[in-house]
Amino acid sequence: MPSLRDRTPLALAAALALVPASAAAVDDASGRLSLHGDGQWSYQRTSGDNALLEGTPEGNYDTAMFDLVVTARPSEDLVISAQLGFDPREVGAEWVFAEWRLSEKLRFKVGKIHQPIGNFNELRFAGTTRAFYDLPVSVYGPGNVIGTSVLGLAVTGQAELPDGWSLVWDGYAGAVRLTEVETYRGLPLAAGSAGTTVAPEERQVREVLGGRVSLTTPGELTFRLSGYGGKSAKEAEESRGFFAGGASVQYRGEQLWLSAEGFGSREVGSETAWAGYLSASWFLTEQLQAAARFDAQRTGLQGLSTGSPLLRHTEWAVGLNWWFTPAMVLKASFHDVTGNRFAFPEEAFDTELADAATAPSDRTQLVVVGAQFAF
Amino acid sequence: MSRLRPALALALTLALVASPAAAAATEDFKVVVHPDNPAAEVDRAELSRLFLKKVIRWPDGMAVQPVEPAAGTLREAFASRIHGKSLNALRSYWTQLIFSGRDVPPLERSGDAEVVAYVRATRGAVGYVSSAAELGGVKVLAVRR
Repeated sequence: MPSLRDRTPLALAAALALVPASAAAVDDASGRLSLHGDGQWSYQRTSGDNALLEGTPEGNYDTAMFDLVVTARPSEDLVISAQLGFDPREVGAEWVFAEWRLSEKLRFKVGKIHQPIGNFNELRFAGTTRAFYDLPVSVYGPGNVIGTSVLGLAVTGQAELPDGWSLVWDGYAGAVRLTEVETYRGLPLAAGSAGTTVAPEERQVREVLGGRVSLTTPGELTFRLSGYGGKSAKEAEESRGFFAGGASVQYRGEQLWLSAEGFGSREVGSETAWAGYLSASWFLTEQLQAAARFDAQRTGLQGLSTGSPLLRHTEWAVGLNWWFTPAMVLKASFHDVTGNRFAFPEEAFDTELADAATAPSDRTQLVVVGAQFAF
Repeated sequence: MSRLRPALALALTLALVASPAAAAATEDFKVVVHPDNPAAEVDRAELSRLFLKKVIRWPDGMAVQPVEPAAGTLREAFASRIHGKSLNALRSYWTQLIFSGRDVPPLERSGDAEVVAYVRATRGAVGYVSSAAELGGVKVLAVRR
């Protein structure tokens, strides 16, 4: 499976990450400009013939990435922010927006914005915010559930409620970028469906309206409800209604981190997906963290009843992390996957699925060893 | 944030400065603002929200511009007493805000003199310095529990 991104330079970022935590790695004297960044590298290897995430049967070293976050404050009310991803082959803007801050209760954003949905979608590239190297693939992977960014307008705000409760809200309108791998194209949907290839496919859900509400208790337990809807269209296809939504809960204490989410999506007349996971981790010492996660997704296709592994993903994972500082962590994890929704032979990317997917093993083990850092 | 009412704050200032609670809350540090800032006191929870950027404006509409000393024992004491968190937990909080594009941490200055200089020069600034710091040109805020 090709890397989602492959980024450099890592050495500089890792060195900066080991510097004691600071307010900003770089800021000018007035505080009007600041630079932050994150990066990661891992070795990922799968058992058998299947690839999963960035893991391949022969082992994948080519997973490095680096992001730079630039925040400028030209005036008291105006913030310009961008996250730039660096790759030997390309440089991309993961988000770039202008924000007008009327008050803590009302901020307007315009540009390319991380889609505010779930616990982690805005933190996809910040590996130091989670216990496992990768986010759960059921919800955050290429499964036609959650997008990566919003192109358009957004509004956000927060309020402190009595007794230490707090509320954060987000709303947005525009287009959402959505990525999916359609392993199930190998199923006998219709005559002539074979002959396609399986590659991560990006599309836009347009005319989107979406939002999220987050309620945090005095004990730092956060509940979130989020969803969005719009019109989805692949090339040369008629546009269809698309809706996705779900509930999330998160706790991040000094020792215990918990996250659980459940999402559903529906592309009218075509596809439904149900996804969810439960992740828990515990700091055994100040540096050593143990983690476990259960992750599942089920895809349903209109007019087709099948228990095919191509429509299912069930995953158990355990991990151990060593935190040098909150800004740099080494992670190792083992993943046991049943189903081929996201795990299938690499050749399926390059050859006709009709050949590659006739009999993929429905069981895949993945080992991930890597480092993540931020400054 | 409940509003920092200047009139009420002014009336309470003398009593609060002299109170044991105020002294206990700030025995390791003093909270300072620009002399033009009408606030005279702040409670611990409000102060925490100012430095966590959960409140971005003073009651008179001025943008809040928090400034902190570099990491060290003073910062640790402030994190523990005002935020009720460890420095690691605060780092985690800011990482989430930075990489979700929501905000960046307060400006950092190397020592007391630099914090005081920034606050003196910046109308919306709020900072904290060690109790022994020279405080020329800035105003000390009383901290209520």
